[in-house]
Order: sequence, then structure tokens, then C-alpha cells
Amino acid sequence: MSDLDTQIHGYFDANVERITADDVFAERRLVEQLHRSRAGWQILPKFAAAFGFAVTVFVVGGSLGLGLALHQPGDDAAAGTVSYGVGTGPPASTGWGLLSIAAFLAVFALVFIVLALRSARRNPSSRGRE
Amino acid sequence: MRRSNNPDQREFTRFVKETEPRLSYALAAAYGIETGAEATADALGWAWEHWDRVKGMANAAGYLYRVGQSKARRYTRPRVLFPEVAPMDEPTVAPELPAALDQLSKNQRVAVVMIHGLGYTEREVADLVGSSRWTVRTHAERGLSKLRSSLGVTIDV
Repeated sequence: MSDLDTQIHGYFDANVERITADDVFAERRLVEQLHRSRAGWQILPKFAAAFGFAVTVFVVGGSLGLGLALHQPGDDAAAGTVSYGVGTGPPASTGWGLLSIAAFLAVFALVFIVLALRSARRNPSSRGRE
Repeated sequence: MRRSNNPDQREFTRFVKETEPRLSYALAAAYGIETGAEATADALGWAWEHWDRVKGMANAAGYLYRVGQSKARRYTRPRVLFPEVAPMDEPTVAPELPAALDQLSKNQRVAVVMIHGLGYTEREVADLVGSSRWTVRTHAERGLSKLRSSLGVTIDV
């Protein structure tokens, strides 16, 4: 049997798993891949979430209001023609105008949320490392 | 194997070559073979993630040892810190060595393994674990004496 120092050396030399820089780089790449795959489900930044919420409320609320207004017969219903209107303007154009604004805002919100998600996928700490 | 293609990677590769053995052995001695390896990988991963900060440190190995310690505490303590001696090592290593190492305190194990087993100086170990040289020496002396008595060794042959 060897002396105690040699035994300790032999035991640790045989059992300790050595780590190289390549192992570290590989592990980091794996972590980044996992991070990227999860990023799609990350919570949005607060401002994006608040904006999305406001737009949703506006679009849903506006559409409901618009729907109710469009189904309310106008004053000239008694004259045999059914007229739908909001306010005093021409009913059809006002409805379409509001719908286009709502659609525009919805598309804008969608684009905004997609961009926010894309930015959340990037990991700032990994820039310039690989 | 991917070749290092930027200066940071090359510098980090050099750093790992120099620092990893100390870190691996010290954390393995402190927390056991399995947890020590995990903690070393975590500490070096952390070092790469914070390389801008780590490369400027005067005692990066010591700092990473502490990072490794805090990572190791997150793992559940394995039932066996030191696995049995492999049959092929038996002629040179006493089968009772793992159990005897387990009986030492964490600091004693680190000091004994690093100084007596791997030939590091007291100063190097003290810098790594963040203690004074005298404390490390005391741990090494007490640990070695305890280890000898556990293994029934009086004089190294």
C-alpha cells in the first residue's frame, strides 16, 4: 500500500471529473438554447403588457359599443327604412371608420407584442461571448 | 471540439486551464466528488457569464471557490460523499479511505487533500478558501492526524 499522500492523490485523480473551457462553452450554448426556446412564453415587459391590455379593452369595449349602436334603430325607422347610426354623421361611414381605427390599433398592438417578444428572446449577457 | 475564436474565449480557456484543477479538487474535497463536480461546473459557468468582471479580479480562483460553495449548498447532500475505491485502484488506495475522508470536517478535508494529496502550498490553499495560512495549517495537521488514526496508519511507508 502506498503512503497516505499518494493514496489521496490517486483517489482524487481517479475520481474527480475534470472540466475544460469547451465544456463551459457547450453548457452555456445549451442554456442559451433553452432560454431562447422558453423566451416565447416569458412574461412581457410591464409597459408592453399594459399597452396590450389597454388596446384590448379599447378594441373589445369599442366593438361592443359599436355593435350595440349599429343594432339600435334610428329615428327614421318609422318611415320604413332602417337606419343605423352613431351620432349625427352618416351611419355606415362612421361605423366603418371606427372599425378601421379598431383594426389598426389591434394590428399595431399585435406588431408591438411580437416585437416585444422578439426582444425578450435576446439575452443581453451573452452578447459578444460566442 | 470547437476552436476558440475570440480573445475572450482564448483568455477564458487559459484561465480555466490554470484555475480549474484547484477549484475541482477543493470543491470535491469539500462537498464530495459528485457535488464538487457540479459546483465546479456551475462556478466556471458563472465565471464565463461574468467574464468581464472575473478577468479583472486579483483572486478570481478564491472568488469562484465561494461561488462554487454557494452553488454546492443548493444541491442535496448525496448519501455517499466519496465513492468506494475502484477495484483497479485497490493496490494503491486503501478501501477505507473514502469513509475516513467522510469523517473529517469540510475544512480539514480541503486542507489535507490539497496540501498532502495534491501538493498545493498552504498559501495557495489559504487564498483559495479565504482563510489565513495558519488556519489552513491547523486544519491540515488535525485532519491528517485524524485520517491516519482512522486508517490505522502511524508512519507513512
